Formats: sequence, C-alpha cells, structure tokens
Amino acid sequence: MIGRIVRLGRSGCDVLEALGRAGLFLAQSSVGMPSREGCYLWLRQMHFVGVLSLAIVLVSGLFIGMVLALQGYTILVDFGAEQALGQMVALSLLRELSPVVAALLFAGRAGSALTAEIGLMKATEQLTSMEMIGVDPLRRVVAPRLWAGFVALPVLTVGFSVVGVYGGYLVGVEWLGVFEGSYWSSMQSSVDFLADVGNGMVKSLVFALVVTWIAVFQGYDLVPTSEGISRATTRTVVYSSLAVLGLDFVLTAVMFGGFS
Amino acid sequence: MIDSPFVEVENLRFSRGDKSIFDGVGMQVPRGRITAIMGPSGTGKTTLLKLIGGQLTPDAGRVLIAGQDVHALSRKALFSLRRRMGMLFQSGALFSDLSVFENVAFPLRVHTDLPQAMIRDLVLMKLQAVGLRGARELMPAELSGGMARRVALARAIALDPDLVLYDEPFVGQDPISKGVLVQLIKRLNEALGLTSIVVSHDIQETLSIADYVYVIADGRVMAHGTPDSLDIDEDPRVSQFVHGEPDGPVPFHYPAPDYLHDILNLEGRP
Repeated sequence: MIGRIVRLGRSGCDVLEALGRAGLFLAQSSVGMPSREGCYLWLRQMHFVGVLSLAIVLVSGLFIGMVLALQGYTILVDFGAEQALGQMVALSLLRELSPVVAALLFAGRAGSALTAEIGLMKATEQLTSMEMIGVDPLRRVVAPRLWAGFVALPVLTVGFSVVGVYGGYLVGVEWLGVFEGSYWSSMQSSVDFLADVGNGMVKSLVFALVVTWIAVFQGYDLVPTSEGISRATTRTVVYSSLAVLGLDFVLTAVMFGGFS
Repeated sequence: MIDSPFVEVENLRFSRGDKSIFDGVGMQVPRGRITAIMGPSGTGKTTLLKLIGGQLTPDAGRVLIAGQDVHALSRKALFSLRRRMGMLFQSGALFSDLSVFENVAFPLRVHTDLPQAMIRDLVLMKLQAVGLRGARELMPAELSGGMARRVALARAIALDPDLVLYDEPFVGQDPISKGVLVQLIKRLNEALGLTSIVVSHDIQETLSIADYVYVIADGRVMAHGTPDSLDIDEDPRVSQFVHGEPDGPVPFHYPAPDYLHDILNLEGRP
C-alpha cells in the first residue's frame, strides 16, 4: 500500500518535472530576436511543415465540407430549412471542425515528422556536435521548427475552411439542388467575423502552439535509441490529439458557452 | 614536462543514478601536446570528454580550460569557449542534411562574417588536409565510416581551435584508415600547435602518438605517465590493459553469483 502511494507520488513528481523541462525548453527556444539566417531556416521549415501538409489538409477539408452538407441537408430538409445549409456548414467549419481536424491532421503529418527528425538528430549526436561547435541547437534546430508550426497551422486552417465551404457548395447546391443564393446569403448573414472567424483562429493558434511544442519537445527529450524514437513519435500523436480535443472543449466553453 | 596545463581536471566526481562513474579523477593536459585517456570500455571515457566539453555537469570537482571553470560559465560564455574547442565524435556526427563542403563550412558560417570566397578557400584547405577535397559534393550518407570521420575532423578544426577532443577516433576503422587517422592527428597537432585529448582503447595507435597517457578504471586514474613508462609499469592492472591480456585483475566476467550455484539454480532465479 505504502509502495503504491510512493509510486503515485513519484510519477506525479516525474510529470511535474517533465512539464517544467518542457516550459524551460519553450522559453529558451522561442524567445529572442530572429537573425537573417534564422529567417531562412524558418522559411525552409515552413516548406516542410506547411506546404507539404497542404495536400492532406485541403483534401480532408473538401471531404469534411461535402459530408457536412450531405448530413446537414438530410436533417434540415425535414424542417423545410435546407435554405440554412450554408449557415450550418460555415459555422460548424469555422467554429469547430477546421481548427480541430486541421490540428489533428497536422499532428499526424507534421508533428510526428518533427519528432522523428529531431530525435534522429539527437540519436546520431548531431545536436551534441552542434553544441560543441558553439551553436545552440535550441535556437538553430528547434526555434525555426517551432515558429514554422505556429504560423503554418493557422494558415492551413484557413485553407481547410475555404475548401470545406466549397465542398459544401458542391454537394448542397450542385448536387442536392439547394438554391445557390440562399446558400451564400444565409452564410453571409449569420457568420460574425470576430465571434466565429476570430474565435476559430484563436483556437487554431492555441492548437498550433501546443501541437508543435509537444512535437519538438518529444523529439528533443527522447531516449536516443530506435525504440525511444518510435515511442516519442507515438507520444507526439497521442498527446497532441488529446491536448487538442481537451483544449477545444475548454476553449469552446469559454468562447461560446455563454460565460461572458 | 607539464609547464602550463591547458586543461585541468580537479577531483572530479560524477554518478549516473546510483552508479558512481568517477570518484575523484584529476588530470592535467599540457598545452600543445597529445594527451591520451585510455581505459577499458565502459569506464566512462566518453563521459569524461562530455564533462570536459561542458555537456554534463559533475557532482563535485572542477574542469578548468585555459583557466576558466567550464561548469561555472553562463550558457553564453560556455558557447563562446566552445568556439575554441573542436570535438571529433565517435559517429562523426555530420549534419545529414548538409553536403561535405557545407558541413565543414558550418562553423565558419555561424561564427564568422568571412566573405563567401574566403570560406570556400578555408574549407578546401581543411578538406585538403584530410585528403577529401575531391569528396566535397558528397552527402554524409554516401561516405564510408573512415571518410566520415575525416570530414568530421576537418569540421572540428575548421575554426582553428586551441583544443581538439577526439572520442574513440580509431574504433571500427580498417587498418588503412586507422593509419591515416593516426598520421592526421599527429600532423595536425604539430602543424597547428593544437592541444589534443584522445580518448581511446586502441593501445598501439594511441601509444604511438601520445605524449602523455592517463589510464582510468573503476572511476579513478589508475596510472599515468609517458607511453614508455606505462609499457614497463609493474601494476598488474595497468600491464593487463597495456598488453591486452584477456583475464587478470580486470575480470573477464561481469559480476555474477557463483557459477555452479547459478547453473543448478539453487536460488530459484528466473
């Protein structure tokens, strides 16, 4: 019994210690003025993290928009309210689905790659040799990736929403025959830029920070063996998915829960 | 022969978890010489290099490089001290996303504002010194182990450091590249006036170039002296190591319960 309590306490301490390390890690790598070299490295990472994630995010956005329109139509048509399809598609995408699904896809596509890349650099002593050359790997390797993820995901989320709305249009208007004017006008009259688009972007920024932070920290902090790398990549995807879904609930409660 | 030591290690203690790795290690590395640190595998020779390079922090004791206490420096001061050090890693540790040329140019690019043409000249000179000027376009994945280590050596000396740390430079090399590396380390040390610390357990190669040798085992300095004096050292542990005898005071067997006892499994172990 005592042993169990001791183990519980110890694992609690371990969790706190890891959180502390992660916090220090974030502060050390993200604070500081960018150099010209840093901007170039950041652009390179924007390509790997952002541009190369574009295809999966946009295709998923299209399908999610199409499914939303299809499902929404079958429900709305029972009430004769299929004119409101545009509103339904746009609001679900902007408030919830775009930030959340884009973040989940991003964690799987870019987050796991970041973890594996940094982890392998650690395992092959590239990070240590960089330190010995007198270059801080936190600033040279981690910071550009962190900032790239932080900027890329919100942009991807915008793309997701745009393509999703178009997917809804394809299914709702072109296929199911909802009047085109009402699809767009219901959207225009109901979507509030600050409350819907703005809050969605805030969510996306939070998710971007959390997912990228988890990914680079897991890579930097892993045990440098092949098993350690595989575990860390798994942890990146699991932790960031859970963090995204959990934070989404909290943020939704604060933004749309009627507290204010 | 020890006039002004460039690196001083004083009463160093270090442990990993409950396992004590160093228990009061002290050594002095004279300027401009090759000092070898030898010892059986698993005695923490690489750990010692990491302590000297400031990547690990000791539990007690100090490491002084050019009079500066490595572990009392701020992160910034430590990084600027490291510009004066080069380290050759066991794996080479080349940046896998950069070509051979860019790997050697890396320290120059990040630490100097030299014009492109001068960086090119310097890199080619370093690559010429290790005999790989022709391989500059290759990527690290295309190099053999020996070539990778020579490129890493060129990178380690790119900034003309005062101190170069070699971590097991001869391990896993064929006889030819071993010979090449021995030559290179010796020649570079003489030509550039470097202070070198070579961590190794390859006795022949190391003794042939070292000016002074420290043998560490069981967390302590077991013996030190010039290669000649170690060769005739009477201490059975030193002589076992230097002459490569399989069993002796340093046991062949990892500590284990009595063999007969274990085979008959009298204690019901798994």
